[in-house]
Amino acid sequence: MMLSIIEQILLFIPLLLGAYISMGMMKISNLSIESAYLFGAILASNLLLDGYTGLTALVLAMIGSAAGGCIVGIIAGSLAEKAEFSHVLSAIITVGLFQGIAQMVIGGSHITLSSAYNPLRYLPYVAQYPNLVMTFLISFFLFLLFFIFIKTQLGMSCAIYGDNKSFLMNYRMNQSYVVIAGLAISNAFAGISGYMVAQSNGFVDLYMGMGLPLLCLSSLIIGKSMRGVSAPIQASVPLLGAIGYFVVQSLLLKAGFDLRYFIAVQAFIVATLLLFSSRFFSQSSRQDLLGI
Amino acid sequence: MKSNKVFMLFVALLFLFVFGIMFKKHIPFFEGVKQTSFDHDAAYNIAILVPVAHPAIDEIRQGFIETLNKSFCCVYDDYNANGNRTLLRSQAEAIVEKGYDLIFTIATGPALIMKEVCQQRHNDTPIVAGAVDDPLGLELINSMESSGNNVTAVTGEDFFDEQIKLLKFLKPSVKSILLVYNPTSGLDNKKFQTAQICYENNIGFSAVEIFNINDLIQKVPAVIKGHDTILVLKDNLVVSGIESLINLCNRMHKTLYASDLNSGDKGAALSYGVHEYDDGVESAKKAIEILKYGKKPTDVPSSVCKNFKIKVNLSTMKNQDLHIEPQLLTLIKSGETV
Repeated sequence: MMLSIIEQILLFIPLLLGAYISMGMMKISNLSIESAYLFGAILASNLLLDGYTGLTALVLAMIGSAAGGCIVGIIAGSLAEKAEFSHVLSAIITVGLFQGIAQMVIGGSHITLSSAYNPLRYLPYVAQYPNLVMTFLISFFLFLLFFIFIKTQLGMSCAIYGDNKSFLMNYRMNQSYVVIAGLAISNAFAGISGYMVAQSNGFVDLYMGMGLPLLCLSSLIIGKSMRGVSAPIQASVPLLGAIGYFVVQSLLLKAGFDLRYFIAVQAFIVATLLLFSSRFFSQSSRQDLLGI
Repeated sequence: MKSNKVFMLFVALLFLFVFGIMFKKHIPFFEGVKQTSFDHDAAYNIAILVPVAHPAIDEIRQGFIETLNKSFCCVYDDYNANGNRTLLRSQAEAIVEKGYDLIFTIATGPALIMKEVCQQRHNDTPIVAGAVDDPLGLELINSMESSGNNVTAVTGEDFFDEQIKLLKFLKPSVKSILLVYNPTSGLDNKKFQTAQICYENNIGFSAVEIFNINDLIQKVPAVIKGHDTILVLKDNLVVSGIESLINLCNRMHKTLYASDLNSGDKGAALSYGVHEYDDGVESAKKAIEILKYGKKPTDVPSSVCKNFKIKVNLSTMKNQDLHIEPQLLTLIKSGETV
């Protein structure tokens, strides 16, 4: 049970790191994350089905999935900044656009990865959890990249964009660049997560991204509530959020809870956590709406 | 202050009233997985994994359980992912951990994910996969005769040629068909096949794409003129809003031709398809071979459920401009009518 929860947490950590950049730091309602997740999985799968093996396959899958997510982010960001659409509208347009593109590339509703080489088994692995070691290494590497990113000028600018947008304007900083680059990086993380989940499930599903913004928001709120204090950048939030979300889900499953009501329970847990965290820690965490 | 207390009392009473209505029969929260600890008196413990609640899925499940219960006593644990792919994966993991005697999956997604999780965990619990689309193309099984793994599948097949010829036989005046379909369900290939068959039978063909249920009311009336028959495939989105198409066809006197028999019960003048229940029965037969006779899933051939039936709805056929000769109707009646 424990190892399967860990594996699931590791698969979704890149997605939550991406969601944290756009929703947590930049406070943008990044609904396009679901298209990035799907498109990353599709591009990487198409590359792997060409027959690459070994380290080449691993590197190509990572680059392909990140590029897939990145392109979704660039389009969503460009629509918001260059065409001056609102972030929600640009995300909706992007999702619609990429739904058609995804359908065209998949040519059905599923792509199976059974016949392709599995790069997540590149290193020696635990017998029953063959993807675990590689998933851990990739997630760890991405977490390091995230950590480096938030220390850079762009990372800081992303946090400033979410915290005090007029600061960027006052100092004549290029806001478009910050938004487009921030969304591109955020969605690149989501694309990698999409590929890892697809590889672990053995197939790409046209609807695999459905409902992900809700998962990201719930996890980040759980993470923020667990962290307690409120600051513009908290690297531990996505990690704690993923742990909180999947542990609760597995416990409910273990207890025999009817998971038809899982979303209702999730809403209840999030509301309770927000209520308690604002009572016991600080009032400001209650005002953080994660871009919504 | 007093009015505030009265308001609070009103709210409390309102909550009590609403909850009283909601839970007057039972408290449903712990019914999803009906049996969490194994029943040792039961012959077998079986997990049923479904992606979402849907009438067709319920029928398959019912067919499976009723057929299996005739042979031996089983305990069934229901896992419903409620359309959530993340949850589907967690449920697949939980099923493998609990160690069931057999796993029954309904629809393509659960079958693929269950097979993958079993392979990763080196678990060879038999999987009977019901209602799978294209199990060979998706590499769920190696061949229909022998899967080469722990899966045996029941798949559906389309017989558009027979379906269109039957329409022409029952409604010789048919000139043009309008296909209402959801392209995001991977039905584009089926659209092209149907168009080709219509062309071969000298019947005009056009299609209208539907992306949500509201489109049925908005798009179809705009393009329905010039067509005498509306065709619906096995398409979850369109079938879930079939009532609006039935009303439209009754009003505009067009024949509604569905590809599932449930739509015939609801009011489609003509429907041609298999009972979803039979899919469950076929799956249960495979489960019996595995559990009762100890066969391995790879030795139980996968099969196509092709018990096709035609259904005529007598109460709506005239409104929908379908006139079948009495003698022919008598013949069909010996099969099935509503």
